[in-house]
Amino acid sequence: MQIKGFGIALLGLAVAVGCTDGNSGLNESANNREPDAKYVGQAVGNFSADEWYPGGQLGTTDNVTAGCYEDETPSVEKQGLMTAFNLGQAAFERKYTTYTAPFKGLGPAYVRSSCLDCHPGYGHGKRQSQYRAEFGNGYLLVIYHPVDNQNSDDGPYVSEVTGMPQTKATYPFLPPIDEEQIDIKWLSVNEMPSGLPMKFPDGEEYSLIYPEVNIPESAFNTSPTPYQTGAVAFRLESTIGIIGSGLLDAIPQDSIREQYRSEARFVDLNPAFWNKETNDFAAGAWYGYEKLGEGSYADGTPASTDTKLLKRFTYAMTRASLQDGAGANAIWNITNVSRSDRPYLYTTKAWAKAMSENAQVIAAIKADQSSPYYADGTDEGIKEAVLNLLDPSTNQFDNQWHSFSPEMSDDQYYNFMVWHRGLSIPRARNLNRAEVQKGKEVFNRIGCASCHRAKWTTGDDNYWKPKVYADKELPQYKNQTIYPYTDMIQHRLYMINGIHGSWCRTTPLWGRGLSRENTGAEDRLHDNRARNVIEAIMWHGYSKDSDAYKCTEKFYNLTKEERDAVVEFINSI
Amino acid sequence: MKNKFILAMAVAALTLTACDKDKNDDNSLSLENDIKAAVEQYVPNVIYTTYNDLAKESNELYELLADASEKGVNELTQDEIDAICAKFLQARQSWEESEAFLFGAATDFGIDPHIDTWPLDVPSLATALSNTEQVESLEGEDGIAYASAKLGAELLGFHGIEFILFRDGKNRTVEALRGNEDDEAFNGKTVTGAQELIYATAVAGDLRDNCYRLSVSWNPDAPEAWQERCEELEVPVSMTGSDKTYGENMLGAAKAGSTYATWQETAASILVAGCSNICNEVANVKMGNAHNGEDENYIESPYSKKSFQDFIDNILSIQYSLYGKAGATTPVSNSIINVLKNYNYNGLTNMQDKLKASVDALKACQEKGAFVDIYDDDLVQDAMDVISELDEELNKAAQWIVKQ
Repeated sequence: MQIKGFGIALLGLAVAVGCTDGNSGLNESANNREPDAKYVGQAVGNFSADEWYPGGQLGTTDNVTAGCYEDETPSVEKQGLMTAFNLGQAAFERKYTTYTAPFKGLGPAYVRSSCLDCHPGYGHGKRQSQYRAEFGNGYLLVIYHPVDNQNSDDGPYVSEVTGMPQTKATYPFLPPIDEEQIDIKWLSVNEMPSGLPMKFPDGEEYSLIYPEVNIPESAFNTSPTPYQTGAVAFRLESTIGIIGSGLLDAIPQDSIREQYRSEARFVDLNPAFWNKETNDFAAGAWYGYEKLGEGSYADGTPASTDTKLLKRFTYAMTRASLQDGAGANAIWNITNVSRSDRPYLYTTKAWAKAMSENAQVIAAIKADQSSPYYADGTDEGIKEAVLNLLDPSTNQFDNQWHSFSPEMSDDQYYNFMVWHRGLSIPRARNLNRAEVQKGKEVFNRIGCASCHRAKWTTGDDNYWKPKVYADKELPQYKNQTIYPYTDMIQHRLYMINGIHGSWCRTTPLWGRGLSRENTGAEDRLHDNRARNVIEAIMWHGYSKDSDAYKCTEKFYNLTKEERDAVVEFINSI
Repeated sequence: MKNKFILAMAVAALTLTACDKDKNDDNSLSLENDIKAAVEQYVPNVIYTTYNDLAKESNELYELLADASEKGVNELTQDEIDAICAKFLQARQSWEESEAFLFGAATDFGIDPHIDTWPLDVPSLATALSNTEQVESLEGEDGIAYASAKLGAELLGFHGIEFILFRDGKNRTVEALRGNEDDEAFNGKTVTGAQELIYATAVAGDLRDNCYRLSVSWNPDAPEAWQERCEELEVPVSMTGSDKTYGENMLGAAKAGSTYATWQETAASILVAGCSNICNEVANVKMGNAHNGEDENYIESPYSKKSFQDFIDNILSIQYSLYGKAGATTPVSNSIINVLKNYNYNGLTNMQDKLKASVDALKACQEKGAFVDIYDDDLVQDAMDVISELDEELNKAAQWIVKQ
């Protein structure tokens, strides 16, 4: 079925509303909650009609039941991309294996064997009390050398394990980290340094917990271990929501520049991204041709060698185009599945060295002549093959030891990105309710919207794409009014055991209120430390240095009715 | 179509007609009460019953395999193998008949991908079973825990057991199990039938445990022994942050603490999150990815060649959900179908026609051959088309209900 478009959907709604008007007040249910469907697409209270469609006409699904995070955007069907979307969805959901098509090439070391493990129900990961590379655990370990040699949030990643550390390996290799030795403790906050009490003025209490992670040196199957190169600290970072990413990719760079300018007047922004003196982006805000590689734009124009795109994806804002973003990267490095544009393994020299020196590994390979690491069958020959083939700088398709073939085809990769760019945002819920309208008013009044900016307008969405897609098109979102509730800028909250690097992009709030229906959990913040919306908000006020402290203080002083209204609002957008 | 509720003009017309016909002061409240009664029928008589059957049958499968493994391949008879195969297909049928309600525990706890991942990674299975130490770890009671924690979903679940029990659409023979595995992925490796049975038994035990968990997570009155097994495994069996089962949550709709705010939205969830989702899965993924992708690796159940039966059971799962009773061939009085009928939903006939046509189209495919052999046939496209039309009808019905 071709999607008939917003106008026709509105007509249907108008008919339904007309029907209801004749029965005013009769549709109240036992708890005075009526379905919102009859109001969808209408201006209600302080909401405009288009706020029902946070992803715009081309990016919103009207489905709000369990599983709605899986829906494609109307653009996907409109552009005739459903087959590619469905095949790409399989690439996301299925387990990757070592040898069995269609999803083969797992390992030799890997983080997870399926994207769905980290994005259960297409949402955030769930809070874990132990680290196992399995379904529901969306955590990436963050292992770094803290600048203070103790527990600072800042410091460079260790080089002995990959930036996204692997706890799994295919036979006969050992994982870079033995996950059974990873210790996660959840500790309670007794009082916040900001001085905000752990009880609201009306007496209602809240509690905050945070993770403390430790990995002993014995867990590392690397040579050397990170402990041999400096002090080591650990953090957890959970997967972020993946819905609506294509819409964020379509926000014009100039619009984001204006947002930086408007905020820079009031708050210090990350100097790596914003130059206060020139009142413009710093060099670090850009992602250039040298990293992107050859590509073109949606309109077919080749991307020149001076191409530079604005970083906008991941907590640390390390990626610019979605087509070279977290998903495009993860489908390669989480599974370690190679493809024609990614001929290298995601490994480290320290792991390759450790495996090449492991007697059990050598013996197992020696017993299997069909192993690609068998070489001449001597201990020395196998050692050399392992050391070089596991090295991240060895071209897996062209080397003297064993040339592998790309494990993911270009078509599979393209399908995956159609799916990725094609995930929709569910429509807003309950905007007709007085509590939700009140929540919006309070949310704006106390300043939450300063960072959780509601409204953006996409431009011509002339997206960048890599050469490997050739002339194939992706879902496109031209001139859409969208409501992601993010400023696309990093801020600092200064939480205890905070996020690595201290700066974190404001998380989009759209669709998050349906997390429980889609994933069975509603944990929030970068390491899932917040068990509900109230906890997530109060973490913003942990320190007086937090960019959001003043807003949080205002939230703290609201009445219970107002607090509940803000929560209802956040869960409805 | 995956994107739900994006509606055409036809739906608006249906809505208008239905509204005009039923306009009366008590209409909405009585509709709510009727939906409530239908959900109170649906939860115990469709969900609890199906998961109860599945748990019971998967346990019987485990016990048959454990007995066979203990008896040894040399003493095993063909009749005993055939009985194990029949039990596998019975449990498989119950699982497929549960796929119109994958929302809840099956999704939230990751049980669906844990027990029903395909394709099976046969080369990795060959490596695992040729490792004597690993096979020893799979033996006995502790083998279940080892399988669950160490094998990985690509070697667990229905399809791992299916590989041991079936080949080329037929039950394995006793002679085959008395010899060494001869699948080409096992070339150069020596794996005996006895080792294969040890593996199948451990995997069946893990399957059984997950099916117990499905039942216990929905039904607060699930058998005590199943609840105790879940306690022993230390797995969550209630909704996160709550001590409610998924069944209690749905039956508590429109009350504080339930994730279902209204009875209308509960019905919409059954129709969309449940029935429509499996329609889309069957048409566009299970059939579509093989048919469109022209790759037989996307095909589920290739060893027993029962894919079309799986798809038929999926559509029957929708029928039972709409009719209010597992196994129902006609609607019970308190059913979603009868709610739609009693409130003069004009799209009802279309929906019922598409439901029947979907089963008929799949049966036509089944008569022509196994999916793995005819996945690119035109009949497959015909079945995909009609199942997609059923999907649209289910969404229209859901939209109609939430607008009343």
